[in-house]
Amino acid sequence: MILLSILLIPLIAIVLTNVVDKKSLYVKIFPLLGSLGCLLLILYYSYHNNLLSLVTFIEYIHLYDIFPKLGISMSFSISKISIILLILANITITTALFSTFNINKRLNEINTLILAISIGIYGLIIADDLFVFFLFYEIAVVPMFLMITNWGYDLKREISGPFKKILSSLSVGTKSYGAYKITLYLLVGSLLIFLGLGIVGINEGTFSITEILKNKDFNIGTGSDLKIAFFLLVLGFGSHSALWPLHTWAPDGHGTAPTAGSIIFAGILMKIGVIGFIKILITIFSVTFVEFSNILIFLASINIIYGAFTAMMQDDLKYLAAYASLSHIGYIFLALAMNNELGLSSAILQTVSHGLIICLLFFSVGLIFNLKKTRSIKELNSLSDNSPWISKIFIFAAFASIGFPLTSGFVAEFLIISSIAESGKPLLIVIPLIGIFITTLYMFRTVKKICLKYVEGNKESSSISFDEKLICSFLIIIIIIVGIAPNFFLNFINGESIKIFLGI
Amino acid sequence: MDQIKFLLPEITLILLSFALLFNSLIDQIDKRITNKILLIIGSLVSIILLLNGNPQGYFLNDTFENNTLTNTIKVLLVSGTLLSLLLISNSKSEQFKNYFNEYCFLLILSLVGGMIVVSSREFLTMIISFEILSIPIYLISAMGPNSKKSIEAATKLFFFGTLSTVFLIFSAVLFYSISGSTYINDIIWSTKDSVIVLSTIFLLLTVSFKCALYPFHFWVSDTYESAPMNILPFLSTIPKIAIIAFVFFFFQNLYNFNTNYQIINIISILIIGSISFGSILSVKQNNLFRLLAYSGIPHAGILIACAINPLPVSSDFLILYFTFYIFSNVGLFICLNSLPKINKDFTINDLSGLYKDSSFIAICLTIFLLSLAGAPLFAGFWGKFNVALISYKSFGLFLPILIMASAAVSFYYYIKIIRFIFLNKSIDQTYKFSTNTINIFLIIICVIITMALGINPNLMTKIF
Repeated sequence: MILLSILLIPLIAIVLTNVVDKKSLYVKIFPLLGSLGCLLLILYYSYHNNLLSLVTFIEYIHLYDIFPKLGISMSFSISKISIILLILANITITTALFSTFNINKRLNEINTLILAISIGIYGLIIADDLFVFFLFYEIAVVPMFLMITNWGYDLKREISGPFKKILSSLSVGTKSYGAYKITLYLLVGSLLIFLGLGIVGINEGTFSITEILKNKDFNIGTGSDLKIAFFLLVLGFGSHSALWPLHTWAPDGHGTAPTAGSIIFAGILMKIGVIGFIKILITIFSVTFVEFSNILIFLASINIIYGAFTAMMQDDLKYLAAYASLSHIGYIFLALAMNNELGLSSAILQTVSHGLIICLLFFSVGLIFNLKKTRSIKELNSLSDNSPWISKIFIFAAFASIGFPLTSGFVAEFLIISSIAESGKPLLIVIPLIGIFITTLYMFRTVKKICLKYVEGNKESSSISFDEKLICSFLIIIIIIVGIAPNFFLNFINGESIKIFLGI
Repeated sequence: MDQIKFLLPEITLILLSFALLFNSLIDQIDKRITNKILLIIGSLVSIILLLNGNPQGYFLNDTFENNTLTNTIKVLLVSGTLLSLLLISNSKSEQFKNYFNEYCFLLILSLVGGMIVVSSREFLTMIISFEILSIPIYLISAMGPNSKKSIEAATKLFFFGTLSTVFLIFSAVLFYSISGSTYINDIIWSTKDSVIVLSTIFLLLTVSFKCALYPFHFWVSDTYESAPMNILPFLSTIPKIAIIAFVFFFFQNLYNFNTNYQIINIISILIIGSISFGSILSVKQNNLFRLLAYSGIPHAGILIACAINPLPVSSDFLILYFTFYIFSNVGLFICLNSLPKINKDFTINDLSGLYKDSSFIAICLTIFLLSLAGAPLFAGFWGKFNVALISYKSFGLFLPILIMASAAVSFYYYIKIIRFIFLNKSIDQTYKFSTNTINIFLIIICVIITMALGINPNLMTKIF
């Protein structure tokens, strides 16, 4: 019950941020305090309930009925997995708040939007009712649009080819194009998700996930309407987490968004789809999911290889990071499609690890942009001479993204590969290996080009402030801790808690 | 005399309207304060009568029916009218200062017509109450600021309105020829005779004209553009809701018989047409009032979809949608009326920088627009999405897809407005303005109801 106040703390922070003087330091401090308060609350909750030693833990909270006749109620359930996801979400939000420090334009409003997104994401993770899940999902999606249109960047993209006229009439590359594209995808996605959730809830007679899992004996998810619902949900959640044919919003959205926006997109918004897969598709539609897992394997493989190859072609650092995260999301789906416990736990670990690494990567890209006023790889050079700090952070992020040993990426990718080996489809191991190989290529190339290449006439002009150092070292420490001692995290997502989660 | 106690709320309101009219004859200085006091007392008495001790059942030779549902709808109608009349009583324009009592007289009569529409269960009373509901609106819509334009719109409205009443009478005649009775309950829906389909079509023509549903939505934009701005909160909600509630009661018996699917198909044409065409028409609008006028069409379509749903739970959801629609719309128009430079040629661009000028109005406007769009944590979310759920349960997948698509489109055009509200503009254009205290109070009431229902929509069923 006490954990529910993480939905309330950001709200208080929003009010305080908007009450105080717009130019005072409190506009920066209050949101940060709210976010840290949430983190402390989550840690206190896990300490209070002794989560580290408990094998099985689940808390079910029923607040009030919304529509008892349809079986909708405001209910939440907290398991060990949701604690891990909450911590990830919190770290991402905190990083995003740090990245807004050097925005001078209407800081209180952008912080309000970030906190509103955080309410949505926390509620999404702990919701037990399908309708409540959708409610928080929408809360997380709507502020995104306002964020890009008001604080985004206009890109200068050269348009060529047969569709030049149409594309230039759509003003491709501007921030409003990016914002409308992303909103269109997310809204259509949410439409499909709502239809899917509605079909499930109406057919089962209740919207509570726990209740549906209890009645699981009769073949749930096999009726013809429910199969439609399954595909609607796959499309909806897939378009959110940039599954292959539905990925085109991701690069444009990332490219045009402000740094905070990119961090939230990659760290959380793309994870909303993954959380949907984990919370709803794998649990409720377990039979149908196994039936159609080959399709998912196919799409995820395209994601990994296509994302990696396209990232290689990019000149804009943000686009590079966007395609890299596309490729890494592919690993998550590949692991999910393996249908074994190791697959699920490695998918969750990769979700966390990718969230942390991509935060750091986008944050460092934002720092580079602030220093050099450009993100083009061609124009950037001699970063390690200009600003050793930024270049070190970027190099660490690039290495973690490859999956270098001692970082969290290594553990997650290793577990994914072993889950593929366990599933009896050993040939599939080739796909992540190709992905890792190409990632290594383009990351090394980029590091070499922008950090290590030296051009005469560059002076040292380190422009990294204390708070940026603080948040970067925080992220680096967590990435290394996950890499060195993954057991601490795996304890939360090991076999037993997954069994509870799946309702077995 | 025994039957009069059923009609006490309506009689109170009629007395109130005459009291306001007589008050205008008395030449006294603070007439406006007396008006407000009379208005508040009269409406509150009628609301209290409706909430407690309004007897239920059929009365006056079974021509009217009172039950919990009609009482709830009437409470909503009266409270919506009270809010919009209080707004009018604050108006600063000369016309409203001088003719306030006449306005009130007409609008309250129209409200009484709407309340009787909700209760009527017989064709003759129904036709009369439809007329009582509409005639004051014809009159008032001619009183707009631009007299040439508003007289044109009012004439259009009047001609087509009377024509639609003729259709209504014709439909009553056809129903009478089938069932041999003027009572609505006696209609035998299962008859295979095509006359019943024809008469339903004529009835639906009238209904679609009065609530601006798809084939007959043409008057709505002209009227919104040229009618006096202060009556828009009334015009956009009360007639629509009274008539949709009537549709709910009219087709209540449809499913008791062996269902006649032709009738459902005809109604579904209305629903599908209004939802899709209304959404498409709204996207291109740049004039704020035309946009709001057209965006009401999909709402009416969704309401009809909820009203003809056979599930028993649909009445709860109808009430929820009514509440959200009344308070969001009334609040929205009160906010717009509070802007200093508002006129009927107001485009969306003119809203830009509103947040700098008056952050209170900007935030409240955003809340109402988000609620109308169906954003979560606001009442509109539950309104739209519940209708989608129950229409999936009874009519299959097509209708929910349409409703959701229209919700997505409505996000586009409502957020377009919100974007301009929060946009920066050059500094020399900004000017601060303060809002009337009573208007702020009214807006806060609407905001509280919108937010409270958004967090717990079950409150409605607990109150009534």
